[in-house]
Amino acid sequence: MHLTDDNIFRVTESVWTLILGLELQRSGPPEPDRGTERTLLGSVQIAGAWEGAGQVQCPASLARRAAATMFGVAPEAVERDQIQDALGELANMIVGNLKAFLPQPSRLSLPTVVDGVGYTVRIPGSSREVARVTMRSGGEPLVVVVHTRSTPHRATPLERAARS
Amino acid sequence: MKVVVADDSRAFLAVVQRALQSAGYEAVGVTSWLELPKTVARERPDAVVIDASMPVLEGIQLVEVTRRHWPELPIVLMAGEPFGELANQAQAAGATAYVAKTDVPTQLGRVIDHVLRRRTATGRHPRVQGGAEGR
Repeated sequence: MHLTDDNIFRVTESVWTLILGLELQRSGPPEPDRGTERTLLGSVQIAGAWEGAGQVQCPASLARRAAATMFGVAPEAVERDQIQDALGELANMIVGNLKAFLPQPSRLSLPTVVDGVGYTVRIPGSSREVARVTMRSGGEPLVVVVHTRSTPHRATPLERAARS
Repeated sequence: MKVVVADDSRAFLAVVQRALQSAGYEAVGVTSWLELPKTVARERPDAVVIDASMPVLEGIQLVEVTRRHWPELPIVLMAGEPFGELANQAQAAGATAYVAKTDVPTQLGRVIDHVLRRRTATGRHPRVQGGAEGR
């Protein structure tokens, strides 16, 4: 099995509809972030036979709607820590199910959540983006990004000595 | 019938509690592994549901600890990732059943019904059964 954009969409759609009961469609890239809108990003690291991370990012308004559904309350009644908790859990389920399309065995980290305006996120070690899928739910963008850690192997002193 | 649920995410705990309540169960939630033994001792539930991904003490270890203290208590492990090797680990740790988190809203009530029926029939907790995913 390989990680493809279709797999990413199917997994995300399944979590979005089964847990939240919200619709989700594929879409083109979102408007460029002008650094003025509050967004949340849930990130889960994968370690083992495959090393990298999966990230789920959306505007705070969509994360609030998702949290309201999970907590079973009105969107305006949801507090900031509840929104962060909900997005972290959704990222955990989405990345957890994407793990099935990656080499095994591997393990997931606990989710971390970034919540703010105009932030930059860096995956520890050298990494490159291998997939980015943009979707929309209720007209708002939801982006899932997968990074792989690509730190090149560094020759040990023994290997260097053998080559010289 | 009462079920104690352990999940560090308050958001998912709310989803699980709603699923159990709509299946006719009383649900008591805890968000840390430390609270679980105390709550089980106090509430004397008919079953326990544990998240596989908990901080400090992972769900599998929490299943082991709970099983050691309550040998006959049905324990359902739920995970946000597919059960592959995790199913074997769940069985070895003493889980009675497992369920994927995406199946919780529609299947958890049925999984609990099933393990409690089996328990009533045999007087013991049954072996690991796949949740919606494993059937």
